Amino acid sequence: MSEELLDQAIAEVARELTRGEPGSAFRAQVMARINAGDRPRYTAWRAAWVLSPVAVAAIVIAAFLFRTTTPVSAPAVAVAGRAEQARPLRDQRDRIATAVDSASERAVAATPEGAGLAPSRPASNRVVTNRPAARPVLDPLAAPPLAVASIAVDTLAQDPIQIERLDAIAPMTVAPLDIPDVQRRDQ
Amino acid sequence: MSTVCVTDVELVARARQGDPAAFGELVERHRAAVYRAALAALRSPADAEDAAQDAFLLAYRRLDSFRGDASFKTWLLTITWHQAINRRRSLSSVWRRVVAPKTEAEADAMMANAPAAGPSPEAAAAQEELRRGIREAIRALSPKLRDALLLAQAGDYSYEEIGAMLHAPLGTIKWRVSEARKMIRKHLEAHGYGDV
Repeated sequence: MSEELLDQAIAEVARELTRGEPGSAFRAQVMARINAGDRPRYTAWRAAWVLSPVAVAAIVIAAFLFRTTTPVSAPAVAVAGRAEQARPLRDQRDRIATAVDSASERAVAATPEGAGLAPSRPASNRVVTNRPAARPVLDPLAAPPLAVASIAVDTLAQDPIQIERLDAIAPMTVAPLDIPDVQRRDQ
Repeated sequence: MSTVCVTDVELVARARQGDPAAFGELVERHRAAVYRAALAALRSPADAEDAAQDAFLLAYRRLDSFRGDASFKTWLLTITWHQAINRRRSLSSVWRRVVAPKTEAEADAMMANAPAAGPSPEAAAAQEELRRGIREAIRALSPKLRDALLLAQAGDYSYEEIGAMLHAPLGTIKWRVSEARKMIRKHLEAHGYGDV
């Protein structure tokens, strides 16, 4: 079959597949639906594809916000409890920090700047010491003191393992061979 | 008022002002083109009619957004194609095709029963065999090639209109139609439909 005839056959079949007209009441049906305020049925389907990822994103954001704005959660209470236990250690650290601060203040006062003879350095250049204000952030992270008694190990009451002594074996005496090695190989 | 000599643009303007008869006239003018475009996408007359109705409904609701850059027909066909493709992609439509693929079978049977144009029963049988092969080959095409071929062969649409519907440049549409024909020829050769 020639290419032209085949193309013609393809065109005819394709035309058959799209041949036809809507029913005679088509116009009336469309106008009735317009007057009734009807909506197209298949717009919602596409919207669902668009909206479902948006909905998932909204849920994730809401969950994240809920987590960040929740005032006190159970783990936070536990951490606070541990921080309370760590108070003696903190007090000790504070005393050390205060001592260091006062020492450094004395050292600063001894300098010309400290004595008011020179312009003071900008705040950003100052050495930041361990101020108590920073404590609330760091304290929950402090390790609680161990309140567990040291492990006591009992002495072993069992006797050492007794191993039976083996019977003494008499040494074997082997008589030297009479035949030399060369002869043995030949045999 | 008579609407016979009135252009689409004038009818659109009247419909926007709340004249339902003007929109009714637009429906009457373009219903066949809209229906066939939907049929090319859906291959089921019932689905095509529903999609065509939905397209007109949507066009009526969006009449204010028609700016007149393209013709009203092109604008309407673009809406129709979107509606039909949404329907084609829908799960219920897929389910219908899986459970009851009778619409295509019915169409095939209807075409097979159509009077053959061949001069002899043997020639008619051979021609019908070839047509069946072509139908199978069209069905086996990828949706992009099949859509372009069916719309191009329907006879209702220019290549520009098809390009607007399928969101593809003119050259791409022409290539798809040509490629579809090539694929059909290959399919026929592979299935031994005579010396194609």
